[in-house]
Amino acid sequence: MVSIQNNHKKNLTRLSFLAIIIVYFASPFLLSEYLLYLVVLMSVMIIVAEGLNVMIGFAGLFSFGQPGFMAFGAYIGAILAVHFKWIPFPLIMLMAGSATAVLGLIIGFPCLRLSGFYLAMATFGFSSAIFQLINYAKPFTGGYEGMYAPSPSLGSLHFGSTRAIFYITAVCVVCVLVVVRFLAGSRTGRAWKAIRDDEIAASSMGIELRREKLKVFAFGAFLAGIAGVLYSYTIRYLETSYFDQMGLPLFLILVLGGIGEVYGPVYGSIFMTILPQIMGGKFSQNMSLVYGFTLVIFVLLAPHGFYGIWYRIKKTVPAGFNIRAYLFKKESQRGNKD
Amino acid sequence: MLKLKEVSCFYGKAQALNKVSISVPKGKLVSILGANGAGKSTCLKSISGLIKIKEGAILFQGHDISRTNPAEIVRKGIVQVPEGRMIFPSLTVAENLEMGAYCRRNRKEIRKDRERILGYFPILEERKNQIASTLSGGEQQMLAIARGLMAKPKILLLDEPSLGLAPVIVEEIFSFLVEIKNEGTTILLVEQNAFMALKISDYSYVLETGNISISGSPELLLNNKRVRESYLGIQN
Repeated sequence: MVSIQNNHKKNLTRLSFLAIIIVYFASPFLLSEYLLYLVVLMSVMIIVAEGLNVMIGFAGLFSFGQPGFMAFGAYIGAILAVHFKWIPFPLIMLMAGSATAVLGLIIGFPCLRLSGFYLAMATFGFSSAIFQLINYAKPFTGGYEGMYAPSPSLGSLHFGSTRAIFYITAVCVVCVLVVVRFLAGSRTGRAWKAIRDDEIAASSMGIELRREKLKVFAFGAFLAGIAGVLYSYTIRYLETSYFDQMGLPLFLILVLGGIGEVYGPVYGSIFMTILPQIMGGKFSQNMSLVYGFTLVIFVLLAPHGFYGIWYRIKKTVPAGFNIRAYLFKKESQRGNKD
Repeated sequence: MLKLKEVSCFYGKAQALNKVSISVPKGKLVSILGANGAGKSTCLKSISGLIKIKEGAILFQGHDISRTNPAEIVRKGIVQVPEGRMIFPSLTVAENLEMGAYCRRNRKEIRKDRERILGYFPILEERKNQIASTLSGGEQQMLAIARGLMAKPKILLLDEPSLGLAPVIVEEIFSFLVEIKNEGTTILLVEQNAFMALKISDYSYVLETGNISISGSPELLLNNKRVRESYLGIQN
C-alpha cells in the first residue's frame, strides 16, 4: 500500500516537473517581450547561482568570486566573438566557460588554503581585482566605457531576438540542473558534502581535500563563465559595473532558495526577479537596503530558505546546508581542535 | 603490522610525543591508555598522516608511511575513526557508509560489505535513510565505526570510542570491537576508559605527557600499582 502511494507521489512529482518545463519552454508564446527578457535574466542567474550553490552549499567553500568569474566569462566570450566571427556560439560558450574554470583554478590554488570568512574575503578581493584588470585592458574591453557584445552566431546565422536567446539560455539551465542533480547523488558530490560537514573526517575517508576543493572551484567558475556569456547575449553591452553589483543579489538568491538544495537557486531566482518589480517603484534607489533586510530576516528565521519552510510544513528535517548554524558556530568548534 | 619507531611530534614548540615506540601485530587489539593531553590522539593522527612527525619512523607492513599523505594512507588500509564521532551530520546514514568506501571502486563488493556491516548494527539498518545528525550519541559512534569498516581496513584506528556515552552503550560498542577483531581486523584503540580498554586488549601502552611509561599485557597492567592508582582509581 505504502509503495503504491509512494509511486503515486513520484508520478505526481514527475508530472508537475514536466508541466513546469513545458510552461517554461512555452513562455516566449505566453509572455510579452519585456517579461521574457526578465525570464532570460532570471535563467542566467539560476546558472551562476547554481555554481555558487555547489561551492557554498555542497562543499562549504564561501566564495565571493562569482561576479568576477561571470564578468571574466562574459568578456572572454565577447572578445572571442568580436575577433573570431566564424566560431559558432556553443563553442564560444564552452571556451569562455573553460577559460573561467582555469581562472578559478588559478585563484583557487592560493585561496583554498583559507576557509570560512577568510576564503570569502580573499575571493572577494580577487573578484574586485578582475574588474580592475578588465577596466585596464582597454584595447580589448573598452575599459570603463564598456564594450559591445555580439549576438550569438552560427556561421552566417545570427540569433539576435530575445526569443532565440531565451531558448539558448533555457537549454543551458536544464542541462545545468540535470548535471547538478546528478552530481548531488554521485560519489564526487557526496565527497564535496563530506568536506563541508567535516574536513578532518573527510580526509580520513581518503578524500584529497585540495584536489576536490579545486574541482569545486573550477566547476563553480565554469558555470559562472557560461552564465557570463549568456548575460552578454541578453544585455548586448558589457560594463564591469553590471557584475560589480551582483554579489548581494546572488547571495540572496542562494539563501532564499535554500543553500545546498539542487533546485534552491531556481526558487531564489524567481523570487529575486519578482521582488524588484514589486518594490521597484518606491525603493528603486535603495534596492540593496531591501536585499540586505531580506537576507538578514531569512538567515535568522528561515536558514534553509523556501525549502526549509516547506520542510517545516512537512515536518521533516532538511538535509541542506544550515547557513545560520554555520555562521553562529563557534570558531573553536569549527577549527582544528586538539 | 604497524610499528612506530621513536616517533617525536611537535605542535609549534610544544612537544606532544617524545620517542614513542609502539608495535601492533596482525590480528591483535592493542590499546593506548592515558589521561587528557597525554598525546594519545596525536599518536593516531600521526599514523593517519593528519600530523607530520618530526623524528622517527612509522612502518606499515615494512614500509615507512610517515611522509605519505592522508588519502594514500587510507588506500593502504589504515583507517581512522576520528574522535568525537565525526560523522557527516547532514548526510544520511547510508550516505555516511558510502563515504567510508570512498576509496574503493568495486560496487558489488561494497554492497556486500554494507550488508555484512549493517548486520552487526541492526539499528543502523533501520535508520538507513535518516539524516545522521538525528541519531543518538551511541548510534553515531556505531555509524562512525561502521563507516570505518566500510573502507575495508587492514588496521582500524579508534580514537576514544567511549567518549560521552552511557556505560551500557560503551559495553555494547566494545563487544562489537571484539567481534570485529575476531573476524580478522587489526585494531589500535586509544582510550581514557582504561578499565574497559584493558578488558578487551591483547596488549596495552600507557602514555604520559608524550612518553610511554608502562606497557604490557592487560593482566600485567591491571596488577601494576601505578596503573591501578592513576587510571583505574583503585586504592591499594
